[in-house]
Amino acid sequence: MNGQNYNARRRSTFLAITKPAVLPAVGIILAGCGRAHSALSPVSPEAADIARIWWIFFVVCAAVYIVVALLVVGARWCRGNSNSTAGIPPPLKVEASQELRTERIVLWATVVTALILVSLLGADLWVQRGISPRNDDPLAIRLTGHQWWWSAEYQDPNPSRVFETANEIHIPAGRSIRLILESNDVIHSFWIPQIHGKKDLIPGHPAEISFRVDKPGKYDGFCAEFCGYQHAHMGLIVVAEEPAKFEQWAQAQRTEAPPSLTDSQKRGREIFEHASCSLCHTANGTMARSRVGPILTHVASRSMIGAGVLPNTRENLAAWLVDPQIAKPGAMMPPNELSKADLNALLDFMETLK
Amino acid sequence: MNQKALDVSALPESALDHRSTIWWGNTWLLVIETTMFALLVASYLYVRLNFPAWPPPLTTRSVPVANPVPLLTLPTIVLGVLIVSLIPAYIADRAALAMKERTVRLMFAVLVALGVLAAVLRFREFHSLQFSWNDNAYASICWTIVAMHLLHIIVATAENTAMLLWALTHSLDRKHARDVRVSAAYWYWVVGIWILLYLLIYLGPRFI
Amino acid sequence: MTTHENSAKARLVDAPTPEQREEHRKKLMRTWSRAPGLLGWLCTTNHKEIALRYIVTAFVFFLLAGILALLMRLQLSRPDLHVLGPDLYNQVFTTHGTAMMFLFAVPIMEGLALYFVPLMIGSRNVAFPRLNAAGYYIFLSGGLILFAGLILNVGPDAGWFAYPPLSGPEYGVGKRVDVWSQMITATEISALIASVEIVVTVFKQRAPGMSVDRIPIFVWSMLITAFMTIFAMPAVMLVTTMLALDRMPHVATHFFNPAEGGDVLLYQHLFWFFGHPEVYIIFIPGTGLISALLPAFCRRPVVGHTAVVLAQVATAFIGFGLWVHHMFATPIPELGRSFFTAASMIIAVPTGVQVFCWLATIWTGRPQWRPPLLFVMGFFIIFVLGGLTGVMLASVPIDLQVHDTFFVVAHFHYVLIGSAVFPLFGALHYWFPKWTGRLMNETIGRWTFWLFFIGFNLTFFPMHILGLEGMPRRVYTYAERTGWGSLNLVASLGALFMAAGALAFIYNVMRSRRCGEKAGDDPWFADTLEWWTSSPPAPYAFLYPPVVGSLSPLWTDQNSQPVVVGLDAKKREILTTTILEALPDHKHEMPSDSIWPLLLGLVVGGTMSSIIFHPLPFVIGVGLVLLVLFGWFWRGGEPQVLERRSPEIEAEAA
Repeated sequence: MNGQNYNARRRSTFLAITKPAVLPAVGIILAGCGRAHSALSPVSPEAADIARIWWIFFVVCAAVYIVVALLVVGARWCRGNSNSTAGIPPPLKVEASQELRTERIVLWATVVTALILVSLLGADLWVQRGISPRNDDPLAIRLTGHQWWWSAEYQDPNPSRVFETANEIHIPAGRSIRLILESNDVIHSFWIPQIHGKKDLIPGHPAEISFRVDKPGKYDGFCAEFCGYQHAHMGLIVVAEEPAKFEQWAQAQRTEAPPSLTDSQKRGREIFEHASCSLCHTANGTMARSRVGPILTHVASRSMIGAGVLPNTRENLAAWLVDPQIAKPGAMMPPNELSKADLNALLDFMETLK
Repeated sequence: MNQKALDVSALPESALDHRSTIWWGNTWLLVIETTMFALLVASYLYVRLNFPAWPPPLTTRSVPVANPVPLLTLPTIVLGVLIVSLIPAYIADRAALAMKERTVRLMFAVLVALGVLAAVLRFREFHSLQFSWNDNAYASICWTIVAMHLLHIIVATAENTAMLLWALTHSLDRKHARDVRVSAAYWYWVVGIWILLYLLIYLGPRFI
Repeated sequence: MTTHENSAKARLVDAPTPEQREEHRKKLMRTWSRAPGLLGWLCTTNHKEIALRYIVTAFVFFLLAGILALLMRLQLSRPDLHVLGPDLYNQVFTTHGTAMMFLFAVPIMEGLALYFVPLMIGSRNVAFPRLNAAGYYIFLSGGLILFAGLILNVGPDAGWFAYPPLSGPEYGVGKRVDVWSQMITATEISALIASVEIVVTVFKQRAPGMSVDRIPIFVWSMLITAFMTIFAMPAVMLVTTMLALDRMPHVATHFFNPAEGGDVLLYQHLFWFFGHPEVYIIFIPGTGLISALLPAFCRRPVVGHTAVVLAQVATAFIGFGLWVHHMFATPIPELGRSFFTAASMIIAVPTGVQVFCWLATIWTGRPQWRPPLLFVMGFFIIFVLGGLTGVMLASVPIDLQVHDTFFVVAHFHYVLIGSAVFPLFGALHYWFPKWTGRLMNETIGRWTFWLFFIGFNLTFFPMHILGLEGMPRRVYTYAERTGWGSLNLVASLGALFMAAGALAFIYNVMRSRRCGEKAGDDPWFADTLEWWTSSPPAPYAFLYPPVVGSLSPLWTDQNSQPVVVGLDAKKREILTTTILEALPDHKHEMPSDSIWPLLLGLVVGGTMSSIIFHPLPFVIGVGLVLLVLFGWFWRGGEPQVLERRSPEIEAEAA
């Protein structure tokens, strides 16, 4: 093997080995961009605390990593030979005094490692202490996981002010929120990356999580514990609004479905009440009173259909009503045979459920 | 070239105690089994936390029972049979060490008989739990522990039977003397672990 | 009669003459080789043959599970794809994880241990050769159950840890989860058998002179792994049995049914009590491999031998105290979490000790950058990153964000592939000449390394970022608007590089097996006793078992050490020694080849696969197992054909 080839190989070695060290840098840039559901673009004090501890750990670990990687790459660069045609040299004679020096270096490296770990542990516990449950008059919402959607019941001392919605929860910005988490079937996990870490919804083990969102906006969440066929499509949207706007929304949610005005709407209402819809769904103000599927009293006010599967447009809703199994195979809702006219009437009716 | 050689031809051909590989194999098997039972006990105590009353009220009968603690008579008899069976096991163990063929035969016959008796009674012992295994988690864990131990009685008794048949048809050699000792050790464990499990299953609900 | 008296009976005599040696060799060959033909092959109890079967079978499962991984990467390469669909995708990812953990990572390390532990300690077989054979057949039946399930569309689909209620009777309908729980039981039986083999072999069969301080680190690591297996595996056998009982028609217990006082968190505790040590059951053999490769390729013993061994022991202990860090998102007491956080961080210290010792070995040695050492380098670059993200995951707040996301997927692939697969590939290149007598091609070896290394980082590094950006693990697809598309595409392309690396490796094996460069007995001039045998080793391994005088026997003139004579060559006789000092204790006759292990494997495999459908076969199975064990115990009664040898051997012996 001639020298030139050898050097070329060295260079490629260097590039490939340093790649993992370059990539964290890329990671920083990407994370800094602040995607809509990045754990590192916090909008709540809780997520901000977590992001802070994350960055502390990241910087320390990255520094340690770079040192180790340099030691490995450096050894490849400076020590030994990579010529396979040359024979293998005899074993080295290990000098006891030299060995003792080496072992002392290892010992010191271990001590430094332990110190780093202890300080990380301290930092972790310190930040963790800051993330405590909120007791300052929080708005309580009972959030229940189902295969594969969410129902949310807004608590109120006055029973007539309790109301329910599904898959999209609005919250007042700046006020503490307490979620009471329950599961209706298998284990799910509540996770809105920009707001807080995960909390599992475990049958038989009610749990709570509390947070406060300071920045109004719309935040995507996910079910984070594998829960069956449509684990991928169990989205939850949190809409944080100015308190006044939130009150307005909540008041609207407490109302019943409006009366149907046009013939088409009336026909749609009839289909809704007498075809298979009412076997599973509720719309307050209609005869549909079943609790199997998501509540639909104000379905038209939500932005997505099927727990985050499709944007809530008339075309998507039509496709969903005819066959939900196309967009969300395995979902509990069966396909429906509807004539074109009936479908249109049903859509007309559902659009009134604002 | 090798300068010297270490001649081991004068060494004994077997060992009857902890120096034999079989003894160690059996010991580690027992460690595995003990771990398994320890985890079952941990599960028992974990499930306990889910019940306000232990055992839970028995509602599947026509007349509900408020505090259906396990009955003691039959389980205690089975425990007695098992403890008594330690005697022939121990005598056979010592006899194997001394290569006393007749004693080994006799004691293993007694041991097998007691093992069969314990296994047969154990099948009836399940009724003492009062519950059926699929009534609730308490019943499930109790049944599983008792049944798992029953399985060990059956396997150990089958092993002892094989040993007895061999001893009846052959003269005792050192290899089989070692096997006899290992079987006896296994039986000590079967009885020993049951003393602890008996306390947990039958007396435990009266106190925890 | 005490041990000391026994060892006093061993006398130093003159070394055997060449004629005596030749005579001895012929007798040993007749005694230790197996019958020719299929039956002889199926009935062999030679640990080397069985261990190679473990290695090859586990590697085949690795390739199959790798193909499943490629399917997953295909499905995730673009948003909203429907190549697999949720039903198939869930089966594929569950089978991938299950197979990689239970059918590849653990058994292939067991295979290496079963092959090399006896050789490295100078013995002729493992402690219980028949049981060893049975263990292999049981393992194989477990693997076949899993992949048969997948092919028949009853592949498990509840994830490799199969949490109830999703895996319970109510939500895990069909037989898919039953396939999973039975294959787990089968493979764990075989893992426990292998562990008992290793422990007893190391305790009692070390060459005279191999006192505790002269045990190679590789042997230590396998011993420690075996201990961990013995204490961890019962938990998973128990928990899968409880799950199977809950699910079984006519049985229907309530262990994990909250309505009847059962508890799904009990499942998680039991599973992770096994599941976390499992990570170390895969990692510690990897450290053993590193410690076996480094001396050979750095031309010096590992720095801090005792420190490395103690670090492994410490890892094993602490490894049992971390399981709750898989459950930080569940409602468990705050104080408990802090304890497990501390333990999860502390375990980085012993790992650090080992890494520093190895780095010091490279820097104070004379590294030969041949392919095995390249894989060791890959280990450092990859594993250390995974270890550091592990430290991050120990922090409860960070864990709550990245738990169950692609960040965790990236983390454990960095840890497991870094600590097990890279050292493994290095070890396969290193020991290939021992198995075949030929070297693997180095150019292809370097290609294998670089393809695999680059591919690995391309595949898994982006997943860290995906996780932080909110991509949960185990989703079969994702929407365009999430913006996860491009990084997923990079990951999928990287997977192709890894596949190319695996293909290069297979090609290299196929090619080198036939026409690789002849290796000789000890091509690397390495330090441990397996290189003192011929390549491939004879069935009896050592013509005369060695007496060991140092930690690196082959570097301190093993040929001037005495050898062991006086074992009967007409019986499969070995020398057992004392546990601590390895003084000669007694001679022990190993059993002959036998049909019973195969029958036991068939009965256990048959029982496991029929329990999937009905509880009754369990009763029949226990009866059949007892019958087989009876035949096993009774000795004699083996097919006469097993006594036959190939014509050449018979002729020589006569």
